[in-house]
Amino acid sequence: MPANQLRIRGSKNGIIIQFEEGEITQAVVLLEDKLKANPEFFLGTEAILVFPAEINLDEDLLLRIVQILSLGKVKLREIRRESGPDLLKAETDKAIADVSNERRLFWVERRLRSGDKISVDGDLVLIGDVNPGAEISAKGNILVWGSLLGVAHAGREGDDKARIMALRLKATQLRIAGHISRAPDESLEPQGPEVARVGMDGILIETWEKVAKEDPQPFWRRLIHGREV
Amino acid sequence: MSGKSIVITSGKGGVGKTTTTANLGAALALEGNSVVLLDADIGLRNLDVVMGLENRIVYDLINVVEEVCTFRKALIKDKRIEGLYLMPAAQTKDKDAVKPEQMKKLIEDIKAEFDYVLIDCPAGIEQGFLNAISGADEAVIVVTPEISSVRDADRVVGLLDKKGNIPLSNMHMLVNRIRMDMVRKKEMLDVPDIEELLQIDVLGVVPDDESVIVSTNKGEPIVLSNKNSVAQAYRDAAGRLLGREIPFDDKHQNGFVGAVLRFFGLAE
Repeated sequence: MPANQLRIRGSKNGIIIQFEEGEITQAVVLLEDKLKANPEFFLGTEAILVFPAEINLDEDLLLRIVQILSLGKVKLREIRRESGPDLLKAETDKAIADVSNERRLFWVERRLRSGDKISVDGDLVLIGDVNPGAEISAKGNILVWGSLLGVAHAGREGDDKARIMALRLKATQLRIAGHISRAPDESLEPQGPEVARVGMDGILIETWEKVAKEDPQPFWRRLIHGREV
Repeated sequence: MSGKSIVITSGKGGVGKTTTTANLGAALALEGNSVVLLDADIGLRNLDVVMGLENRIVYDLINVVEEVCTFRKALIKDKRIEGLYLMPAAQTKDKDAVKPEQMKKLIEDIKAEFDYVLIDCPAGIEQGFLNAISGADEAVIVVTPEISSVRDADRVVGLLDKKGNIPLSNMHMLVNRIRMDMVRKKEMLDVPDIEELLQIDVLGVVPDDESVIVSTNKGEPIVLSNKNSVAQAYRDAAGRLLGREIPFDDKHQNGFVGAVLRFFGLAE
């Protein structure tokens, strides 16, 4: 494989990774090898990708490159075509957004007692109870396979489509994105699993049967696959 | 011989840790075990007062830790019960005067010569608590049927699990000051409600009774009085600690129903 398919050099703006004309998939493999061989060279840097004008860039390939970079903790700064710098701005933004939006599923099996706290950057599935005085929070959805009696915060970074589901939803307080709802002063025993989501007037709680009937692809089904589509 | 160390803790103050330490210890000693009650509440000691041994203190726990004397020398023999000893806390120092490693070593030393070490833990979850739990093999969590007490107990169970390295199977709860008449009227949490939240086994259920206050003020553990429901509850709890199967019964009733049952000799 000719080494000149890929040229990597440093600049004050970060590492410039230049792809040459030819079979680009091979160059991508080469990039991956180089990253694995010298991880400390790349670690924490920013990269500018430069493609020749003629090359046909498809989305999958771009996504693959961004994934390789993110594994090596390299932040993608920019994608350029040799014929003009900002041509691919929209594609870059989309590729970066795709990777950072990739949801991670956190599967936790334990009982949270008063004073315990779990906070995850993705969806949270908790097998166990959340006692009063304990807190769970997630960037995405929360599913508690047990009693949710403490405080839960879904969509922590502003996603108001996030939902909270529990087999026994009797939380002290529920938060979804910027919405807060507290338990009624005379708290009733829930009759079955329930789902909380943001509705017209703040957080509303519905039985899971109702949600399941209305939505053929309920969020917990999508959750199982680790990635909401 | 290697004994067992058990910390008596609760998180919340005023739920009966000291009373429980004194009575469980006394009950274990009455069964023929050698028992040391260790007061870990440095700066606020009162296990000695409850035991009526205050005027016999010469050395205390800090003296032992600082190697002023041996632990044997600091132990005070109980004036009524054979095999029962007290290791008093220092009253003039504070909680930082002892480190967890020192406490651990002291408890190891005592365990080598005695069957049981019961550690009376201070309220709270700060340094004093961490010291008290550092050498414990097992824990008895004292809880009263109040939401605030149960909440604190839950926190303590979590901390013991993480910091104290005491497995959940070595934790027991003792429900103190329950009033069955109020439980029946649904005015008070019942034992199963507390069990559901804490998920640890129940060592004992002690009824609320003013005789405890009287005996505490007299400096005499209540287990020494025969016909008393509190004394029986503590004796049962000690029996369960010794591994006996003792059923929980509903005989020790308060209020009207209890009075009727007592009249017919069906309850104590």
